[in-house]
Amino acid sequence: MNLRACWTMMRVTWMIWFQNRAFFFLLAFGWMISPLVALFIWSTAADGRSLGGMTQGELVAYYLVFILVNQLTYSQTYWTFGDKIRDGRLSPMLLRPFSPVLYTLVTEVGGKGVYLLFVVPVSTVLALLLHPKIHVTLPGCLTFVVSLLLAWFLRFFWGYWIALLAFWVQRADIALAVQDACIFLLAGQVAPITLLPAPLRIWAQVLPFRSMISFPVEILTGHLNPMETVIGLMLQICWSLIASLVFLILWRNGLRRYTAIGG
Amino acid sequence: MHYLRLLSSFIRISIQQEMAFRFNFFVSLLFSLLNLATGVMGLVILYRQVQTIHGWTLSSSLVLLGVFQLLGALRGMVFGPSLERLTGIDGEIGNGRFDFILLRPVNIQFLASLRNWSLFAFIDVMLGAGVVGFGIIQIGKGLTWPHLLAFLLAISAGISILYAMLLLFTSLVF
Repeated sequence: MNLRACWTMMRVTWMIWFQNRAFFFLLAFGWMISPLVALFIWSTAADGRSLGGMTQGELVAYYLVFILVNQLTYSQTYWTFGDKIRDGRLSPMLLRPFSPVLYTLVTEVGGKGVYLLFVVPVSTVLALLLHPKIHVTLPGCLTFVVSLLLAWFLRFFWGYWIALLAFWVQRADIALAVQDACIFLLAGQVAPITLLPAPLRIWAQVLPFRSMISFPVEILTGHLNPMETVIGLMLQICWSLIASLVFLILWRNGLRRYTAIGG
Repeated sequence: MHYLRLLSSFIRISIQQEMAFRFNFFVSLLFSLLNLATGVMGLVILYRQVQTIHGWTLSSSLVLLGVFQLLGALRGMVFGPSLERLTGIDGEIGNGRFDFILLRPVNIQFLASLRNWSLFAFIDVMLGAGVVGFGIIQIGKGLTWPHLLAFLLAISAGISILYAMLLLFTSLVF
């Protein structure tokens, strides 16, 4: 690990991003829209009654935390990484004395800073306007931070291994689109997991997508008992291990294949 | 007449360009289906929990979703691709290729907004129309001719507004 190089890369990322900040703020706004629509729909639907044990205030709180977690765990690089493999821009990255994986990680972390500058004020204003009802405890906060880190790790490597399919397939972005559809349906975006119809709910609990966003949100908003929290954390760890393992295997083999074609 | 002939050759050229990448046709078909499926699933999940929201039922929301898809698809098919080529970080106005449009002996707005068609988006048009039709059958009230005419009129007005807005925002690039 080369700390100085990491720091430089991060500063470069910031400089590039602040140059086009309007564009990136628009992008961040675009990612907020879908959970925001869900927020307004559900809070209208739950007006004056409770749905599946969630009141209107709780639903609002759920979605506001969801927007934050979604932004923190979202990884924007995997859409571009496939292009880099396809058009050969990966080659200069490989020549650097600096792993491309590390580079992606550092730009990812740098990018988060820029997005948060936009998302935190907007969600604060929304929180003031919409009266969320949330009851935060200290242990809840601590487990939230742990599961948030796991969620980010999982989402990062899960998206990354799918992007690596571009080593073998021309249009690997269709797999990314399938992933996004799964996240929309099963990660608690279209509805909190408890409100999903029965067959979908079981799928949502087993597949990794809930661990990517919804699980930390549920911890912070206090919808889980200790047993469910422990099981959820174990699932997160399992899926993280699987995702990073698959990533490592694909990366090794893909890189060999890439150099073989590039000559 | 001259403009109609131009228009048909624009469409022909666009088809030829897209047919060069036939695999992309299936990919975009998949994208469209996925997009529609997630939208419909979202509505189904919502209306599992509640019967109506301010008078809207599942069927009427499906019609709304369909109209939204339909308008988006028409934009993506007819004038979206041409206008998108102008703007953006590497757009034609930015890199100077817009000059080639200014030099041609036709109406500039006509050329700039209609030269590129995306026939893949025709799938989306059909899908959107299908969802609208399905929702209307589900509502089960039937359609009268005046209703249908008013709907078509409103859709055309909607598209005109959409086009005007898009042209307005595209012009901001100057």
